[in-house]
Amino acid sequence: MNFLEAEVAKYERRVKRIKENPDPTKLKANLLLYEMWLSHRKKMLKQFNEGVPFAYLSGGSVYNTLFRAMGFHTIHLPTTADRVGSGAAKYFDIARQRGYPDNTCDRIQVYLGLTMSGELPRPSFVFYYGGECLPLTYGGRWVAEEFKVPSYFLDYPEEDSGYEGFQHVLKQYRELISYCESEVPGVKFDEAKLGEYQRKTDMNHHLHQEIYELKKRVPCPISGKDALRMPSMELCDEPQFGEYYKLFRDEMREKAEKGIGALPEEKARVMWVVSAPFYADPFSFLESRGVAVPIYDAGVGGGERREYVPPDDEKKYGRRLSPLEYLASQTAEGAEGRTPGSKSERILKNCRELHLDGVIYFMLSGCMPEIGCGRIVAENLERELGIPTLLIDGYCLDSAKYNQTDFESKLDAFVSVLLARKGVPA
Amino acid sequence: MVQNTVTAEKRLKKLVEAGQEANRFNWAKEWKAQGKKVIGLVDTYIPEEIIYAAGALPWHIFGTWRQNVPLASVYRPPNTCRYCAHVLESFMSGQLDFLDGAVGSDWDDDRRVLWFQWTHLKMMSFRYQLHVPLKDSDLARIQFTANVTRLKKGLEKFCGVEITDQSLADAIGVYNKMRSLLTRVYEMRKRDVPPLTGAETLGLTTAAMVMPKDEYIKELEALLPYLETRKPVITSPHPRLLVSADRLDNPAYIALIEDAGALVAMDDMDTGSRYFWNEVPVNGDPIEALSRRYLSKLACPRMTFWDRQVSQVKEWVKEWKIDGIVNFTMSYSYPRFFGMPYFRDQMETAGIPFLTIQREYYLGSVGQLRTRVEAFAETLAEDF
Amino acid sequence: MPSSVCYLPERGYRLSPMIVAGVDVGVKNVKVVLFDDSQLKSQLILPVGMEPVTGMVEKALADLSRQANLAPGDIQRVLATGYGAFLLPYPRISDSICLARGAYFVRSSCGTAMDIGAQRSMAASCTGGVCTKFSANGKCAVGSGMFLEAVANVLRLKLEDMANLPSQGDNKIQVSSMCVVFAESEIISLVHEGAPVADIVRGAVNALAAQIYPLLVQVGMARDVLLCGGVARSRVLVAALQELIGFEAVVAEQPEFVPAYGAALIATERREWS
Repeated sequence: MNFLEAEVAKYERRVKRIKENPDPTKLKANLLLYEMWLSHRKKMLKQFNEGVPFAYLSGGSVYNTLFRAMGFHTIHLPTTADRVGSGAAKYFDIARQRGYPDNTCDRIQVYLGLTMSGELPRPSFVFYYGGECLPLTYGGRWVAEEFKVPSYFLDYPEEDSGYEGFQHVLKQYRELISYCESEVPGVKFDEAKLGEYQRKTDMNHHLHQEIYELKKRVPCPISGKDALRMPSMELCDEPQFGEYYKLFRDEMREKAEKGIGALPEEKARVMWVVSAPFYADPFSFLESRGVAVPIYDAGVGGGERREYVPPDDEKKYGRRLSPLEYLASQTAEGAEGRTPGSKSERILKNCRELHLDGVIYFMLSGCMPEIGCGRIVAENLERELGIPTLLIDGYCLDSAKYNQTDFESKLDAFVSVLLARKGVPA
Repeated sequence: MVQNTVTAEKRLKKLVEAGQEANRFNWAKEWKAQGKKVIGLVDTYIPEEIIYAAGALPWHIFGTWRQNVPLASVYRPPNTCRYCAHVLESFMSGQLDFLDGAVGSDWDDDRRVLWFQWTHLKMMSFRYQLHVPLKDSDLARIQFTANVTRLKKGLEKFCGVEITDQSLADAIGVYNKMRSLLTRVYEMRKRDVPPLTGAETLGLTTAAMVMPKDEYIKELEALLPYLETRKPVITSPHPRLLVSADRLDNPAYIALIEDAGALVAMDDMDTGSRYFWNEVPVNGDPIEALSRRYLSKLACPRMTFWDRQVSQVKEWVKEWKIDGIVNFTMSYSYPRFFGMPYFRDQMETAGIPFLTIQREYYLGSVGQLRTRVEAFAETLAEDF
Repeated sequence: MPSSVCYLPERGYRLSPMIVAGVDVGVKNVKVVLFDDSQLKSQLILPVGMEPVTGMVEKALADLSRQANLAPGDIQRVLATGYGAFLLPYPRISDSICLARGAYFVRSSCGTAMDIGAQRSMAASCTGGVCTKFSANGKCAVGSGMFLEAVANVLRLKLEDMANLPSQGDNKIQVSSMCVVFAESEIISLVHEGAPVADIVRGAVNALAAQIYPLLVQVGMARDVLLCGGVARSRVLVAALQELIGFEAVVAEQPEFVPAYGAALIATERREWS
């Protein structure tokens, strides 16, 4: 069974299970999420079987919208790798046998293995950029080389480069579009379509903001696993994409208004940062000890969906921006979000606003932008807010390297410290 | 003649050992004693000429060569770039207290984090992060020029001087002179018995990275006639190897390879050939010329055009009569790791023997390294 | 800041006199201690072997009771800690909390406790016996006793002999701190080159100290620093660590038992187990 067939089977099982035997403790919105994934994967499988060309995106889920607006179908490689779950081992093997570094980020190793396995639709184009991390950049470079297809690298502008940086990105987008149209048959950029995607996602940003506000409530109406459960931009074509966020928000609001928390007794609340062992369930472990996890920040790749700021084109640029310009301006502003300093500020802000008692900083092996900052984030949190941080090593997909006893004993020790500091019995 | 040889050897030794941990700070401290500024660099893509034109000493930061980095380990986990960890150790131990500032670049995750650590630990009064694109398309060059212009303004403000086009042109002249001298030295390495071992050559290029350029040029220019006729003791002139590596600043690594029974006749290193190859064009706007040269110089594995690096290496294999390549990857330094399968495959297709060895930043695991290089050299020597 | 539900005797939370046991199940050894009215009565250290831990601990409790002229049934409470605590049928408490409390028992002026065990090294801030911060080594075996065992194996020395081998040299021999496997091969090369064994040991110990030092800094390294765990018996390691931290550290008299002391005392002092 190839990856797409396995995905279809997985989501069919989940949808069936929920419809036949819904768990009242879980979010109703989960059904909608799985239905979207099922629909999306079925389409992909059909396209795979029909030989329809795809664009591989190595990073930056927002580029799903740009490439879809050009007429590509897309595969966002890192989030595809995240979904591999317990089947990751064989993809690790493929990548490592080919000679790839086995100490780089799991997601990259798995996506390299996945692309080389033949289980994904073959790309007709590869896009990679300098906006997140080196493994994503070089992973994309390698995939382009492996498949000998046209590719484009987007250079991120320098921090604080203002209008010039914006222009640099915009010109590159135009260059990219022109290149795609000339190299890949059937590709044509439809700016109006990009505008539609942007309206959808802007609306979702509003909902994200409302969801964020609800997380401030005590007890927190959202569980740790659900904090992770924000749908990928890969699903932006699904009709229910916007509906999901509304449903999610409505359920959270209902629980918040009734004072229902995700756990029976909330003794403390923490933020989970960077990534998590996706093959395990540390959130339930924490929740069983009375610790809520209202928020998950994926680190440099994008926080807990940064606060929605309405586009203020008129003020900043003197006119309303076209959809492509709007994307360029978001990219240029995002250049600041990727710096360690701004990430540290963001985490501080979230902890303050959500009244968090601590942070669990997952030191994802191979993720240099994150693990290099952990200690500084911990010191800043201690100094500014007097809250502790647990720096805990781990792998997000490589379960062979996971030692549950060791991992949970560290979480347990941190919970003890957390509660002792709060004056709450363990 | 003997007297001249002795003097020349002493001068050469002083240059070749300039980058050693015991010596490398000397020139920077002398510079400071004159009331001038020293600006550290952690990337060879930063146009040094601008710093020179500002009247400051551009000084490349090598990390401590000590193996243990307990101070840096408070902030840098063991599975991150070792060069950056050793640099941070050097900072935290006080070795680099003389630096007035540093210019980093954000191309690399670890360097971005290093810059953040400098900021958090309130190190140096001037900290600048230059964005260096990973491609050299027209758009990237235009943007890099704008970035370099901003760097120039930042340096003007910090150093309290105006960096004029003339001062830049003069700086470019000095640096091009250094580049041409080193090019001549490298040409001599094409000989069957070059005048310098590979280890000595790395010592020479790393000296350029820590010495004031005018003094360096003076020394090297004076030594060139001597080098033309010098006959070093080279125990194994064959096989002839090319070493490809990044941030390899310790000549002892090269000496280890040469002691194992080979000659390092050429290199593809940012502390070696890639430091000085390609002069800056002297016509036109100096900032544009600098940006063009630095972005499009000899390809480093970090740049997205891997094919150019490989083509360059293939040309050098022919010109320097290379029998095999030793590719050093460094623990947790990703560009070379990711590019390695491509590099290896291309070399195999071209029929060029290729060995990849993972190394630490400091000189460690010597026994293992020696064994692997010996085995490689022996397989190549069988052809002679 | 320390919790207001502090379980220290002087804060008045002490319950009526009790006979309690603390059990620390490590990777290599199980440490069992018996307390009566907060006084240490007896203790045992047993190597982890093929026997199930539960049976081993039951037998140990019986032996300790006998030593203290008690019956096993006199033990009112047992609290477990350590890596393998989940294997036992007793309530568990995390090792960082026990380390802090045990360190306070051993030395009330202790500000930081550093437990260097067979597999895990952990630093805990422990002013007043309360842990408010801790930091543990990652996966790397170099930061723990296993590294010294590997070195001893290669050099064909007994651990206890190696622990006290004075170095005469100039401290220049370096052994890789990044990987036990690399370190082993480096040591073999050094032996072949004729480097003095004592100097090689010092090089290896320096590598271990370089891994431990950051853990101390990360928890604030408040004085006094108390060294615990079996590895703390190594005079060579203590010297190397002191060189890094810049002041004298105290080695606990019975360094292996400190977390077990903490577990037992917490069993006496905390209400939630009444």
